[in-house]
Amino acid sequence: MVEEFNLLVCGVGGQGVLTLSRIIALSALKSNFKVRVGETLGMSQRGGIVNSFVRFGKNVLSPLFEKGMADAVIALDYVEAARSLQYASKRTVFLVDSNTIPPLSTILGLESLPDLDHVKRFFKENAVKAYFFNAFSIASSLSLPTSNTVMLGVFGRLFQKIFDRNVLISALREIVPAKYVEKNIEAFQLGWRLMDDNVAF
Amino acid sequence: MNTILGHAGEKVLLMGNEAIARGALEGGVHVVTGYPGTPSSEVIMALSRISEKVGVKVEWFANEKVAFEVALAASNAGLRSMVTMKAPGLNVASDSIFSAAYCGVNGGMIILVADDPGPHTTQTEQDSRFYSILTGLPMLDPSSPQEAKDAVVWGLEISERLKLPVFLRTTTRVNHTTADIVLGDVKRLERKPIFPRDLPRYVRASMKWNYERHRWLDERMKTAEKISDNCPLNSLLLKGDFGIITSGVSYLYVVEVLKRLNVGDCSILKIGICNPLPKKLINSFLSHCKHILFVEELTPFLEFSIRAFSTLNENSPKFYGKLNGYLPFEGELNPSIVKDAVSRFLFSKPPHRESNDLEKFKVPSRPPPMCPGCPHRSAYYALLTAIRRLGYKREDVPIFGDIGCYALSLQKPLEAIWTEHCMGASISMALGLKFAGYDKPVVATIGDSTFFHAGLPALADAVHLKENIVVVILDNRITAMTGHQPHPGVEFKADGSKAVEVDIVDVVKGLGVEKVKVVDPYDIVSCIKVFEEALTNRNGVFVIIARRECALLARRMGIKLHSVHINYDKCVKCRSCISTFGCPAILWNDEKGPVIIPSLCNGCGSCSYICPFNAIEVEKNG
Repeated sequence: MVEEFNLLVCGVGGQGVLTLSRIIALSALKSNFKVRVGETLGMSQRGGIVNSFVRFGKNVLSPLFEKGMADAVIALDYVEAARSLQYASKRTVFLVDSNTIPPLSTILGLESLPDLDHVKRFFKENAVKAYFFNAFSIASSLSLPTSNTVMLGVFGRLFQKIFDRNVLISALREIVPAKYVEKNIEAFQLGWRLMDDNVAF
Repeated sequence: MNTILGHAGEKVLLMGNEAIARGALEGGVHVVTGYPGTPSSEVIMALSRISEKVGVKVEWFANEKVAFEVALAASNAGLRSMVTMKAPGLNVASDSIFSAAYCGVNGGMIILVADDPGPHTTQTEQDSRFYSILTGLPMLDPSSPQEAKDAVVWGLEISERLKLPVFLRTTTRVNHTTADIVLGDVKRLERKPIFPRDLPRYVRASMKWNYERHRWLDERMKTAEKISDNCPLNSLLLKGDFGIITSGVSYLYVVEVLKRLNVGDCSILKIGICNPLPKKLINSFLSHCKHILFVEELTPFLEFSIRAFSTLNENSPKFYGKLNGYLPFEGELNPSIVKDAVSRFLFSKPPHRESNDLEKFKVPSRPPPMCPGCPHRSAYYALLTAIRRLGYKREDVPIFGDIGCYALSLQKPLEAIWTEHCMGASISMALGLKFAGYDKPVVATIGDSTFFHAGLPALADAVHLKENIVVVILDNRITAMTGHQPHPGVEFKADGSKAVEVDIVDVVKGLGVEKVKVVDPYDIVSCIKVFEEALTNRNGVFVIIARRECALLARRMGIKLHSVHINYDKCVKCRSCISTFGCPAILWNDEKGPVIIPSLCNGCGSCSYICPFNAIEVEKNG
């Protein structure tokens, strides 16, 4: 039984952070863990930063965890992955969608947008384990915004010792609106396979 | 099935606000009212989806004062009620709550007020616990969603027993935490509303009666003191002579931090009711501990009260808290801050913390922008253009803002509003500047929901005094910022059923405004003309209603008015579409120039007006 697992799901309003974190939280409940999710919701639908602290295990109480304490980070935006480094340590695993919605300040040229290679290099130089996936383009092939469930598949495969695959799928069925369920399960399977290749490699 | 309708004993995943909604059902509530405000809104949103099924009256009202009084009348008439609001909403409702403390209630009543330490989404870090002292009413302070649910049930019971409204004060980390919750029994109380005629109780016109009711209230609170020690939200753990007094979500941080520091002998008193304070528990803690640290968010309410209270005892422990620099007054607490304070308290030094190189990566800021296609962006663009065309400098014409999405116009590139103060203040402050003798135009911009909430009285005054102010009502047909709740100006209720639309045009004309124009903000050319007319008007108040539904809502309904694309034969890469308008759906590509991202674009077509070379082309969608 997991004592305490600290997961940060992060991204930008509209990318599906809260849906993804709810699916994982419900999976944790179905696996008989205690669950706490601390959400920053205020501006979530408006292209602002969304952080969802998902904590589960035998003994979790508070909705937040300390800086440096993340076991894993799922980032639906690579710029937000970089922002979340404050919650990470060298033992944190990052699962990152290698796309970004550029912040307005970078479109206006007021601040510079770090490019993907730059972010990847930083992770490498600091010996932080990070997997990058083009979840957005996979989702586009399904013609439904499902990057979040692609990343759920990635997460599920990596942590298959914690969550039964069927538990994740049944939680997905409960959270995602019925008419989108099948495509989201497809996305989940694609994500699972993506990670399969990585783990095998 | 909807999770909040689960069976008793079932363990389900609920957000704090959904848990509070469930608590209302378990407490046998009949009427739930409120005005939207983060982080409180989801209580009514959750209940309105099931209100018909469970037979509970659930509705949004024009402001928190109205919402409170609607719920109060129900409680006076013997029904159980709950009213929900964010912290600033309590200030609006407070006038009425003071008087309600004198008349009391018959059916149990909960006043939910959600504070926002941080702050995450609120104009001030108001600590509403002080309202419990000011009004003289009981207040519960839960630390988790489960406790918040249970507090509603217990609170309704003691409210009915004491005949007083009971505050349920939460913070963002309770309202917006999702957790596993064990459900209790749903209660149905069959009651018919009957308003008792009792003049000394309900009429505040006699000073003798008011004095007597004040004494009545204080008597009730003496009874409440006897209940306070038994509040299920309190917990007392007596161990070593170092102890921590805490409340709310801070309690959870304390317990986890002590575990992480491997401290097993620290005493803990968690206080779940901040008025009246549980005096027996506090006294046993004070006599047990020699050193006490207070860990609480915002103003040191418990620290003030218990430091003062301890002076009644002969021996007092040594106290540590905000007053001697152990914790910050501002912002929300988190496990890291609490760990520092607890380490200093127990070991006289902060914990060892390795410097984290990972924090050094420079990341661009990401304040939330106005959405792609937001009608407010187009309206402000037209307003700023009109000001410029009339030969005014930007600093000549103050634009008073108000509470809502349109406050996001403060960001570059528009940088439109000059103020965002509180609900409704845009019109009164614009009026105030004119009244003081300002000789150039002044503009107030206010949303539709905010206008109904607190804009009407100031507009009546502006008409009455015939001051030349321009009032722009940004009517996006919904209360957008808080997640799309209805208001009196739309044709549906909280549960989606049909309501009577109060047309803002009629309201404004009814208040005596002679110059009223309705414009479509997406039609920027016409907008600029109307704004120019308004800014040159010298004959009293000029109201412009910029009416176009919220782009986010339109998108959800599958409405995309136009297909928008860039004709690169005409585009000279001047960048003005980006630098003057700032729509997040238009990105810059060093080779191509501006690029419209179809998945982000909501098809408003406004950018076609912006381009000086007509390179942005729009096609109307069928």
